[in-house]
Amino acid sequence: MADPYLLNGFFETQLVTGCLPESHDVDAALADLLIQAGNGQIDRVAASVQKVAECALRLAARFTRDIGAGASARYRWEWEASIERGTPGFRSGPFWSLLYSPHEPGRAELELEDPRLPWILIEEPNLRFRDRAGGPVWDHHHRLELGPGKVVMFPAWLRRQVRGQDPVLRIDLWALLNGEGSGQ
Amino acid sequence: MNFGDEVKIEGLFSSPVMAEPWNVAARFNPILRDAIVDRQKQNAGVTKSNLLGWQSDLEMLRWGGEAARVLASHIVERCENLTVDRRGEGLLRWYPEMWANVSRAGASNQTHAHPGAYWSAVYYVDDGYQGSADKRLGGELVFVDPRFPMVRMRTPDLRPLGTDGEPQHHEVWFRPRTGMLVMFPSWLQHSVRPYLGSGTRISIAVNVSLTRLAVLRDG
Repeated sequence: MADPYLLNGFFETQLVTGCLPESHDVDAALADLLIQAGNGQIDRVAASVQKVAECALRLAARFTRDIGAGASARYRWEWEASIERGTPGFRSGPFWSLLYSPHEPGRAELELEDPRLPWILIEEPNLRFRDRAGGPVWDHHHRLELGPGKVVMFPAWLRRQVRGQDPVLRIDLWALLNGEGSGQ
Repeated sequence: MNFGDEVKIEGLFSSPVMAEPWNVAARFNPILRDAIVDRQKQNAGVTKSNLLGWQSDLEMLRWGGEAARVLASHIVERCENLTVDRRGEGLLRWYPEMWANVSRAGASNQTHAHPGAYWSAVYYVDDGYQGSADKRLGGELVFVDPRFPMVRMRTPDLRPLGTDGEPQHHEVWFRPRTGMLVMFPSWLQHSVRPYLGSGTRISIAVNVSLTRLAVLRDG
């Protein structure tokens, strides 16, 4: 019998997953680039990086809307390429962050942290809310495997950590008002 | 939501808000109304988040009679339905605290949360709309995004699309209905917009906190 009540889930945080077209053409070159870069900057003009950035720009355009826009667009997207691994963190300037791992599956895992932590666990840390289906329990970390062909995009402010031995590519997408410099 | 071209959007970490019509509202609403009106005549009430409206003391489970206790019992049952104890020790007990609100034209409640409780509930004995669907009568229950203002600091008008394909908003307005019960986490900030009807709105608020039986035993 269906529940007599309606359980809404408000104020969700977006996680977009998609495919990088023809990723096999760039994965080897990108993996080399990431490993060579170490903890430094990555070459944004490299074809493999450009390909991931193009994918990021398409997803950002698709999953973002300016609710105050009139007839003409007020924002444009600028992107920045970096390496992400290990340290938990967030980005304060960009709107979206997108991660891509060209390494074989199982070598990189992304963990996203509930932005409402810690206060939602303060009152009784062992209690969890049920989800809308009444089944699985909402947890406060979301984990997913990164790997070839799969891009993952989420709000840049969201705290996360990439676990694994290999660095992954991060594309940060800045929403800039037309006429405004990137300031990067 | 899957877009059919291997692009998928998921909504993570959403906040639960439950709504349901109380199935014995017709039987108990007149009794609850009488109890609340009588209490208001005897008691000046308290001032907390309420602006212009009357708010009772926290003792409604004592003066509200059987109807108040049946409502509280139903809300506790919903707490059990909507929550899971990961340890499964069975040592937690829900403890409801109840008060009443009476609002006439202009009354509202400031934005607030309920520290110390786990679930909070509002039950509408009378929405005050007198059958009107006119949105100008106000009185909506408003929930505020717990991530606010972070989610809008840099580019306030630029919104990510939600799983419904619509730009995300950071407030949800809920228009009450007589006989409706709404439950939400006590940490979720909420307010009531000014009620502008010519009638009287009567609602009951409940905070449900937790008591750990082991503590009681030890105590």
